Amino acid sequence: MTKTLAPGKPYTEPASRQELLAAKNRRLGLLIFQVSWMMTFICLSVVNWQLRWQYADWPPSEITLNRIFPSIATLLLLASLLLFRSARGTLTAVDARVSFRRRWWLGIALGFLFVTIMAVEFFRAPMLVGTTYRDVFRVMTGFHLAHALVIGWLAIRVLRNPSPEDGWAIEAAIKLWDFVFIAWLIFYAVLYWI
Amino acid sequence: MATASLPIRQEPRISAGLPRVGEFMRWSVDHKIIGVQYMVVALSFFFIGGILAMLMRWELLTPDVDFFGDGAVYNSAMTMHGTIMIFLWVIPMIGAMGNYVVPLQIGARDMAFPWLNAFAFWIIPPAGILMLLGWLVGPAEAGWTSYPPLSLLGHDGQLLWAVSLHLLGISSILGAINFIVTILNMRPEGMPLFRMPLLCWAVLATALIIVLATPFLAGALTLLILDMVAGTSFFIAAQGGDVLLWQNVFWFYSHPAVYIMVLPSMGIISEVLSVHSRKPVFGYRMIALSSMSIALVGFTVWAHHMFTSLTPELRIPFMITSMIIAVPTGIKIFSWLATIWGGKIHFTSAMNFALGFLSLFLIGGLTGVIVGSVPVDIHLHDTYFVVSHFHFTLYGGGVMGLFAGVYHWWPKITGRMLNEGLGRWHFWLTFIGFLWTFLPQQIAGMMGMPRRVATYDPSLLIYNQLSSLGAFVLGASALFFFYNLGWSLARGRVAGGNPWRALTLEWATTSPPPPLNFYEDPVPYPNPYGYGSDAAREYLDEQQRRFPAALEAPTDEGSTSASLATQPAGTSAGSSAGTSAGQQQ
Ligand code: HEM
Repeated sequence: MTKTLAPGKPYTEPASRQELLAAKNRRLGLLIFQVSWMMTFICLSVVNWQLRWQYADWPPSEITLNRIFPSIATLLLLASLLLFRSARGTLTAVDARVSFRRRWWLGIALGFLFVTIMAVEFFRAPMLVGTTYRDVFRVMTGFHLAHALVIGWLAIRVLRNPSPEDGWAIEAAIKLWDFVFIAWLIFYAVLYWI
Repeated sequence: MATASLPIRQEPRISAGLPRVGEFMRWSVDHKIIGVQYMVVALSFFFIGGILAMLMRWELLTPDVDFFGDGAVYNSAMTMHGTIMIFLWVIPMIGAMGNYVVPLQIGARDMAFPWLNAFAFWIIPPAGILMLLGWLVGPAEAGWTSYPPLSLLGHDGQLLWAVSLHLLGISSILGAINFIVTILNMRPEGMPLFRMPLLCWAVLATALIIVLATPFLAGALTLLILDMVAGTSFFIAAQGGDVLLWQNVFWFYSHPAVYIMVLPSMGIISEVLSVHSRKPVFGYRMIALSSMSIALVGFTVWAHHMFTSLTPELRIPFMITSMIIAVPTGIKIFSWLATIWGGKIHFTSAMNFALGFLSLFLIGGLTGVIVGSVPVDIHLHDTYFVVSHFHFTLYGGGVMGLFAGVYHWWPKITGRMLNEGLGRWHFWLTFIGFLWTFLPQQIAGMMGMPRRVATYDPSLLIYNQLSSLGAFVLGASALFFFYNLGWSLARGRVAGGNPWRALTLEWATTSPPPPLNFYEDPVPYPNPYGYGSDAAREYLDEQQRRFPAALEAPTDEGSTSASLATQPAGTSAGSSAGTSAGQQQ
């Protein structure tokens, strides 16, 4: 299964008009999908806003929000995104395979840390049993976690056999991870700051 | 499957032949097969939804609950009717028209993502069945809008309803992504955006609304499902939730969704009016751009469904946006009128339905302006005036347009003409039955008859009986339609490549088209609506020669592909359409 990596070769080289079109279609398709799916995150943010209108104190005064861990998690996520991107950059270099793997793995590890921290937040953090605050908090973090896990799994699959012909898989994984990051930024702002 | 490089052949071609029936019953990634699959499923659900409408109108013949025995049964029939008509008839039907026609119109071999296309379709039948299964576990009763708290008190059927709708939403998002990419990326050289057929513009606008709005439906339904099964309380006011939250999020999807339902029909009739009156579209750019602006403004009006529950300060802004949306709609109406003005109008069934759209949708739009103004709506909210209004837009607009589309493109899809005589019966019964059903409801509504109940004040008896009688006529009209479809498949006259002498690309191939659609790289005619010029006439004559309805003398070459032509052609009733269509231009 493992395809060999030809160093020095750009990893997308459409052979014909059709392949070019197919590549163009995939890019646009993914972009529209991302915009569309981002609307579900915006929808949940709107839900959060509308619910908090009826409350004098939001979050409820009994809890103090811990902003440190989520902030660290956000930075980790950003770092993992940057690592993915730089891993992709190495693919054209001579020792492509080794450094690609190294950076990609590191990116996944940081992503995993992010997921862990947020999972702890999900289960433990600002919880008041039976409140709407908790419901929204959990739906939002849980929804985001689900995406991070699925897309992270895709990123791991890319690692199994990175090859120049498979440029699209790598590109898509990175774009989807962008999506995870932007979606998280929205939620991070709504849940912890605004 | 043929390869991409098809040989260029100039001999006349009759038909690529219809695929076998089995092809339509299994997974296929050919957009034409998927289009037909959508259409068959949508028509089946139209039938079911129609039966429910007949049963409701039967119940409403008398002021008391008698036929259904229990008001709750009426409510479940009403809920299912509304949901089925919207999500399993009109929206899949758009998938049908878009899938079959759009790639052909832009000269593409298929949609951008054939596999995804098939996947989006195959979500629909299971979702529809899931919805119907609700009847076994206690059906949904909360109306198609499913407002909490009512929707949270219901039976398991309400849960199935929500899950099913969720699936349908995902299907339409996937379908819409496909449409956008196909339309933006796969046009041939010589077809810039502003030379694109207007149906493609309409589908593009629709698809944009779908990808931006439908995620809100997904979000709202997810929260509703969580409230049902996971013990959360987003919509339960007593436990800290907010019932109005649902209305906000739901209408943020569902108001744009009403434009999802009518924009494609607007695209269809832009084609039909121009082709069947042999005149260029008036104001092409304005029609195209007004589709886009309807899509845009459509996002700003949702709260007009909540005038009675909205904070008073917000009423006026939403009233204003609601009035603004009448402007692009008006632009379209005037452009269409100017299109047919002075044209050589051929009253084919497709044209009749397009004209029906114009008149009925106009009433739908005008009643919309009436309920869009706050003081009137406070009075008319939740009455039969609203029921009448949205049937004028959905049926008089959306469905009439879809019928026009079916009459227009059926020859392309099946290679056979529909019977124009039956088509006229269908049209007139629909048109008269429609007004007969829904005009009395306007009066009943103004007199205060509330919607969504099986009983009414006996003083309203006459309006309801009138309405019910009209509904039965309307129901009967559909039978003519279904019979016509069957008749055409069995005995319809062979259509030939371009029975209407239309200039758009879908007609520049055989009916039905071969796999991968065209026999050589399609070259669009510069102006898709340039009827009436000598150049267009020559172009169409040449096309007629290349893709005729029948060969003059049988050739060896054509023997397989001409198989349709060798069967007995349709008899008297069908041929009247053919001769008049043949004479066009
Ligand atoms: C044969 C033609 C039809 C008849 C006689 C008919 C009749 C009715 C009736 C009696 C109701 C219940 C009104 C109430 O109790 O509030 C209703 C509701 C509705 N109908 Fe139709 N209908 C027809 C066709 C259609 C079509 C073609 C569509 C959509 C494309 C449609 C969409 C709806 C919707 C959305 C509702 C609202 C359900 C709700 O209140 O939740 N109907 N119709």
